[in-house]
Formats: sequence, structure tokens, C-alpha cells
Amino acid sequence: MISRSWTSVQSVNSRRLAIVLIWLVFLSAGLYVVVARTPVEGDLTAFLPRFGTTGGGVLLEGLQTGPASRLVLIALQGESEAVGAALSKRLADTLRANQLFLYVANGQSLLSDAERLWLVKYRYLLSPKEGADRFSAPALRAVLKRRLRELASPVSVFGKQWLPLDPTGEMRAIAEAWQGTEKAERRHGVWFSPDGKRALLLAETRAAGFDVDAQREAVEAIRHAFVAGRERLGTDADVELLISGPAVFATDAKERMQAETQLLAVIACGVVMVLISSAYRSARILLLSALPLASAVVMAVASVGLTFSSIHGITLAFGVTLVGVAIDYPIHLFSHLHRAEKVVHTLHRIWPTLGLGAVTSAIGYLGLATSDFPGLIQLGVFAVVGLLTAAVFTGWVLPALLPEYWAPGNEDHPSAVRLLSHIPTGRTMKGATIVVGLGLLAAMLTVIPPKWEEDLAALSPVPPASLALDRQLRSELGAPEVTHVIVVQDREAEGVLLAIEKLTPRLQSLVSAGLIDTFDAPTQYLPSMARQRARQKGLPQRGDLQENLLQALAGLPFKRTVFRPFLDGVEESRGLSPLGPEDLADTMLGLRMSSTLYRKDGAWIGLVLLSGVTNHKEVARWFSVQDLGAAHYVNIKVEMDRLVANYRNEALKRLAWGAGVILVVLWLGLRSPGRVFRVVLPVALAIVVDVFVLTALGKQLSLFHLVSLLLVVGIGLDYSLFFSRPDDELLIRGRTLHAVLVCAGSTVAVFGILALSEIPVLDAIGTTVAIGVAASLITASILAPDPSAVDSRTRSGWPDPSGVRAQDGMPSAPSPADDAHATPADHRLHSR
Amino acid sequence: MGFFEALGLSAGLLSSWLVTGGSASDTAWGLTDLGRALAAVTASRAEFTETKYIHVLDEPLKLEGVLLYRAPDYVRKVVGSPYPESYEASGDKLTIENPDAGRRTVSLDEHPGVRAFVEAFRATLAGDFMRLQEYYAVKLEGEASGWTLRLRPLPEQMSAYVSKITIRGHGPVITKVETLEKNGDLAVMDIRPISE
Repeated sequence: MISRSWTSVQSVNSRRLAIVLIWLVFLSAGLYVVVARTPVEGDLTAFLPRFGTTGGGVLLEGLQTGPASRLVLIALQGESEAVGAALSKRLADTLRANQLFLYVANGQSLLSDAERLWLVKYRYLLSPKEGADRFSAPALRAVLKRRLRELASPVSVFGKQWLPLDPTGEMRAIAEAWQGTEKAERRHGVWFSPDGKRALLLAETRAAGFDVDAQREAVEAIRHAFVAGRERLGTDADVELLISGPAVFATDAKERMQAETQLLAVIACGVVMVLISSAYRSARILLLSALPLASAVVMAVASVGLTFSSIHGITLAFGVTLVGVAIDYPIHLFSHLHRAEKVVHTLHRIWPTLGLGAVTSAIGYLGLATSDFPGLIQLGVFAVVGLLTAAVFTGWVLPALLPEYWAPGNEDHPSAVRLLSHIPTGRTMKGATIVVGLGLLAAMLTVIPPKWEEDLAALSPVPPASLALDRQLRSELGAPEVTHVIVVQDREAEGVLLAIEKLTPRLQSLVSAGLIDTFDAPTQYLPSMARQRARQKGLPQRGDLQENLLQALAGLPFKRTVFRPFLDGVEESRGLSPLGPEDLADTMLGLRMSSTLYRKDGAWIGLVLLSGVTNHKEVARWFSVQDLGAAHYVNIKVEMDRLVANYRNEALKRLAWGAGVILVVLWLGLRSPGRVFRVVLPVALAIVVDVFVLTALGKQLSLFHLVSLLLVVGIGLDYSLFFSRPDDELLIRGRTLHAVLVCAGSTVAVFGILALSEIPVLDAIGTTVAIGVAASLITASILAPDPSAVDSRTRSGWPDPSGVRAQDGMPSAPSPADDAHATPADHRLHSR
Repeated sequence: MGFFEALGLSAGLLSSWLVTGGSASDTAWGLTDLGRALAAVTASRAEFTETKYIHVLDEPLKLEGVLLYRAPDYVRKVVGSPYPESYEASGDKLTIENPDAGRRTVSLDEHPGVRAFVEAFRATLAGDFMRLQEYYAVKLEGEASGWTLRLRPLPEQMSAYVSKITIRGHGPVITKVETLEKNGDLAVMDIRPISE
């Protein structure tokens, strides 16, 4: 007898050891992947939706990631204009010398000296002046007479150096063509906001828009230069530095996410620790509950690392909430432990419910994993793996780490049992709850409908205050309104420019018809090469030009030799190669053009911006009957709205599918439609309450809120499943209540903390889930089956732990000593 | 004249010279005095003849017209011949009018170089040398009966274009303005006040 029990004990011990070892192996593999292969990254576009390949989609994507994303907007805010101007000049000089910046503009001068020389060289190709006979003798004479008059003017002091080179005034024509688009006000020689309180600057970084580390360096350089400049000026006038732009968003976002993640992690762990300590008053449980959490987090991060090769900062921040959800599984086990029952038996008893709960929660998170946002997919993968790891750990490894019979000190949870009697589960209360729920639903369908979030910007991870500042600085700098746009796509830049040149006359007719004020096209800065060549052809031969010039000069007081540079210039221009967009790369011209002509994924995209559109419908109709060739007309606002509506419909569809799958799984697990209904009802009511409270709080529902509702369903079902078990034993129901209370407490606390985040996606998920889970707790406990009615109900559909589970091969089949699951009273006689 | 009469005369002359010389050395005439004298004139009209020696032309350009001034910041140059034109600077705005281009207004804030040019006239006419010294290094020579202001543009304004501006006058009246440009061009303006 003794030897048999000894060997059985030994085999049990070796099995335990085996389990723990296997777990350690997995954990180490996971840790390796985490440390070696999962860097944290902060690319903001992961949480912005993918736009698709329509004209509008291409455009919106370009706006996000194109050259405009390398622009940093700088404002120096203060009361004194003179100080602001001086500081602006100093800052611009310092930054221009810094390699991190391709270009710095503050309104001081349109062109650097090198650029001016370059522009002079290409003046005949770029100038908008046209006319076959403008180099004829009469035309030249008229132009020279005008130059003569200008020499009489006092302001000729500033422009007369160009006369020998450019008597026909090409430089002026070019400047005027470009000037029309510069709308920023100038004071003291630099750009200022209209109220004079902000000196404005624009800087283009060398690094790509979302290369966060390089962008952070650039932002640091700006701050440093500002402080140094202020010191050198020796002024104690109050000047504040404001910076905005994608670089700043990315840098701020990364810093904020890091700070938030750390804070959230500390608070979440602290809250959960406090909860567990007060619930169980056992140091061993505190330690043991850390293990499934740690394993869950490690495996979750590792799985993200394997699928995505990096993990996003927002995922990590969100992952902290996993702490509150994954803790549920060990908690259920811990709360149900009692000294008289073997740990493994307790596990067998609650495992069906636990397993079903884990599966439904995982399905809830899968709603995230199948969305159109790459970031949300990551969140989903993270959460599902973490949940399942915690569940598996609870089922397999935790019993291996506990002695055979064990329970925390306050195993009977007397406070919970006392609380049980206070929960109103009578028929009237149930009826009232259902009526209230239906009432709220009716109210939402009629009087207080939920408001949908229409603004795509609300989905961005950038806080609204930063977006508002950005918008204001852009409008003060005179950046054009990008609402009505014509998009042209082609493999070559030349193709794009040609298409736009073909379109220009028709757009002119729109202006004449008064439908639009003006339009801004890249061809105004850079004509197509074909047009440049045509202009070259129109330039006369040197001999002809010389003769015409001599004729024109007759009788005019100009010295004959003065215009030799003009003759040389025209001759040189006849042989120049035409300019393409790459030639403009680092110039002011290039900067101006880069937002309307850029390369994306191997194709060139050109934009024509229409402004002053008075009648949207009329313009849309005009475009719909035109054959625009490779161009399409896009109304950005309409596209954005359509996108938002799309995502909303997708989210609703996903919600419906997810709910359907959950119902099927429940039916498979519970085998009784009646039971399924009783389990699902409290959760449905909780959803109604959740949406009602969100609407009442004035929140506009975005798709993040909708996706979170599926999470609420998954977690709420956990509680509902446990409460609906037909246990007749008061103590066991007390333990269930205790477990669910601790679970709900940790979940609500952690998601509630998330709701304090500034990042909209985290805020939405946190608020929705916190409210929903709290509501689930209440509805599930009220709608739990009345204990007095249980006796008359059969246990059909509720598997028998001691029989079925053993067949499923769960560890440790009950040993002979344990056979009859006698009443707890008997077992207490055997307790140690 | 007898010896004693000559002695008396020279003694009288000497004493009168001492008296006037004494009072003259008490107040050396300077920028503030000139400023006060100029500021006292709140409005003026003058005819001018401007000769511009421009290096691209083989003969000088001769302009004639009228200059108007009203304290504190209104000055207008109306050119009559050979090309009619008007340049009016009032406060921060410069309005240019001619038959070709019509009427155009620019903000002096946006063109600091042009502003410096305007102030050479305007600040001097107002006697506001504080304002003038924001744009030029100012040197005064001579005295009330005949003075010369030599202006050298401070860097950042128009020092790349203009070497110096010389203003001559007597009392509160400006009679000549010479502008020498870095490229060697010279503009000489002779001004004759129109008495009302």
C-alpha cells in the first residue's frame, strides 16, 4: 500500500516538474523573442486607416506620408514684434547651418544667392511670358523704353542690377507668378501672423516624416537654437516657442506613449496587487498571480514580435490592460479553492465555465484583429495570445505550483457570502432590470440617439489641441486649403505636368464662369519639359537678336555694350537641358512645389488645388461631365466622410458577426438554448447601458467605441457564465461572487485608468470597456438564477466534472482516496 | 583815422567780439539744434531738379518735379518731367502712381530697404534724428547757416546698394540731396523751396 502511494506521489511530482519545465522553456523562448527581436516603434500611420487605391485614397495617403510630412512649422509667440523678428532671423540662420534641415524659410528672402543665380540661368525656360515676336525690334524697343522710365524711379536702386541680364523682365514675371501663392504677411522683413503676435518659420527636415528618432533630433535642434538665440539677443522679453508638424506629432506621441505606458503599468500593477492582497490576504497568492500575468505579457509581446517584427507603443500601453483581464483566470481558481478539496478538483469543476469564458473573450478581441487598422490588428493579436496564455497557465501550470490541498486563509470569503444575501435576485428586480434596459434602448432609438463621430481627425493618435495648433499655424502661413483637388497620376513627372497643362485652359473657363476663384497647379512653377523646349525654340539666334537690339536701341540713351549679358543669356538658354522636378529638390521652389507634385510608390502624383469654390454641387457636376483623362476630381471632405461612414459600417458588421460567432460557441458549450438566452441577456442589457451612458456623457461614437463593445461582450460573458451556474451550495456561490467581484474590480480599474489617456484610441477603448464591464457585473448578478428555484431545475447540459473531464485527459484523474465527492462537511474532517 | 580813434575802434571791436564770441562758445550748434529747427517746420513744398548719372546710360537723366512734406510722416515726390510719376509715403504705406501701371500700394514693413530710403528724407524733414539713426550712421558738419549731413546706411538695410547719402541745407531748409550707389551711380537733387 505504502509503496504504491509512494510511487503515485513520485509520478505526480515528476509530472509537476515536467509541466513547470515545459513552461519555463516556452517562457525563455518568448523572452528571447521579446528582447532580441521586438523593438518598440511609434509609426503613427499604424493607427490611421488604410485608404485604398481610389483617387481619393491615393491622395489622402500622400498627404499623410508625402513631402508635406517633412515640414516643421515654427512660431515665436510674444508681445514685441521687433524681438520676434530679430529672433526669427537668428533662428533661421542657425538652423540653415544645421545639416538636419534641407531648407528653412522665414519670409526673409525668397531665394538664396545660389538659387537666384540658378534662377537667372533658367529664366527663359521658366518664365511664363510667351509670344513669338517678343524679341522683335519693336517689342524690344517698347520694353527698353519702359526700363528707361523705371531707371528714373527712386526704387530702381534695388532692381537695376538685373537690367543688363534681363531687360525683358523675365525674372519679374516669374516672381509675380510665384508671389501670388505666398499669402503670409510680412513685417520687419519676416513672416508674421496677422495679429503680429507670432513670427512664423517653416523648416523642411532631411529625414523622412515618420522616422521618429531623426525627427526628434530635428525638434531638439530647433529648441536648442531658440534658447541660444534668445540668450544672444540678451532680451528678457517673453517669447515662447511653438512647434508643430508631423515630426512633432510623432516625437510627442512617442514620448507621451512611453510616459503613459509606464504610468499605466505602475498603476495597474499597483491596483491589482492591492485588490488581490485585500481579497485573499495571502502572500503566496500575490506571488502566484504575478506568474500568469508575466507569462501572458511575455508571450503576447513575443507573438506580436513574430508576426509584425516590432511592437507599437500604443499596443504596449493597451497591453497593460491585459493585466486586468488575464488576472481573471487565476482569480477564479483562487476564489474557489477550499482546503477540503484538491486543487485539481476545484479546477475541474470550474474549468468548463472558465474555458468558455476565455474563448468568448478571445473572440471579442478577434474583432480587433480583423480590422482595417494595422495597429488594431496588433492589439488583437496581443490580447488574444495573452488571454489564452493566462488561461492555459491557470489550467496546467498553476496546479503544478500549488500543494495538493491548499486554500488561502479566508477561503470561505464570509464577506462575499454576506454580500450574496443583499443582492436582489427576486423576480421583481429581474423584471425591473429588463424593463429599464428596454426603456433605455427605446430612448436611444427615439429621443437621445447616439451621435456618430464624423471627423476622421478624432481617430488620429494626435491629441486635438496639437491638431488645432497645427491648423492655425498652417492658415497663418497661408498654406492653401486642401478641399477641392484634381489628382493626376502618371509613371513620369513629365506625364503629370503635360496632363495638367492640357487641363489648364478648361480650369480657366471655370474661373471665368465664376465657379472658382483661382487654382494652384505645379505647372505654374515648373512647366513641362515639352513646354520648356517650345520656349527654347522661340528664342532667336544671336545674330538676329543682336540686330533687333541695335534697331531697338536707336535714339535711346543706353550704352551699346550694356546688354551683352542679355545676348549671352539668350544664347546659353537655347542650349540648356530642360528642368525636371528632381533638379529643384533642395530649393525654395522645390519646397513650394513639393506638396503639389511628388513621388509615391514609384508613381508621380500631381495636385491642382482649387480655391474659392462657391457652389460645390455645380463644380462636382461640371467635373462629372468632363473627360479628364488621367485626372480625377476629389472633394476631400466628401471622401473623408465616406471613409468614416465605411469604417462605421464595417465595425457594425464586425460587431454583428462577432456576436453571432459567440452565440454559436455558447450554444456548443452550454447545449441549451434556454441557458444561452439566460447567459446572453445580462450582457445585452449591459451593452445598452454602455451605449446610453456614452451618449449621455456627450461622447461621439467612433469605430473604436464600437470595436470595444465586442470586448465588453467577451468579458461580460465571463461573469454571466459564472453567475448562471446552477450551484445550490451557498458557499460555492459565495466564492463565485468573490471571484467575479475581484475580476470585475481589476478589469474596471485597469480600463478606467486607460480611459484617462490622451490618445483617442485608448481613451475610447478604456471608457467603453470600463462602463460596460461594470454594467455587466450588475446585470449578471441581478439576473442570476434565483437559488431557491435551482433545486427544481435539472443539471442538463452542465457536464459532470469528475466523469467527463477525466476522459478528456486533464491532469490528475481523481485518485481512489477521493472518490465520492462527499459533502464539504465530511471533507472538513480531513482538512489539515 | 587818428591813432587814438583807431585804438578806441579796435578796443570796441575787440570787446564786442569777446562778447559775441563768448556767447557763441556757450552753445556749440549740433544735431539737436538742427533737429529742433527742422521740427519747427510742419509742412513744406519745394521744387526739385534731379540729375541721375547712371552707368548704363551714356547721358544723365534729368527729372523735375515737386516735393511735399507734412509732419510727422507724410512725404510725396511728384515727378513732372520727363516721365510723370508720384511716390507718396504716408505712415507705413508707400503708394506709387504712374500712367503705365496705375496706382499700387506696398507696405513699407515688407520692404525694409525702401523704408530706409524713405526715412532718409522723411526723418530728416521731421528733424527726428533718433528715427534716422535706426537706419543710418549720421555725421553732421557745418553750422546753422550751412550744414551737411552725411548718412551711411547701416548693414541689413540697403548697405548692399547705397554707399552714402549726403544732405545739405541751411537753417530748416534742405537744399541738396546726393545719393551715391555702390555701383557708382549718382543722383543729385537740387531743391528750391516754394514760399507760400
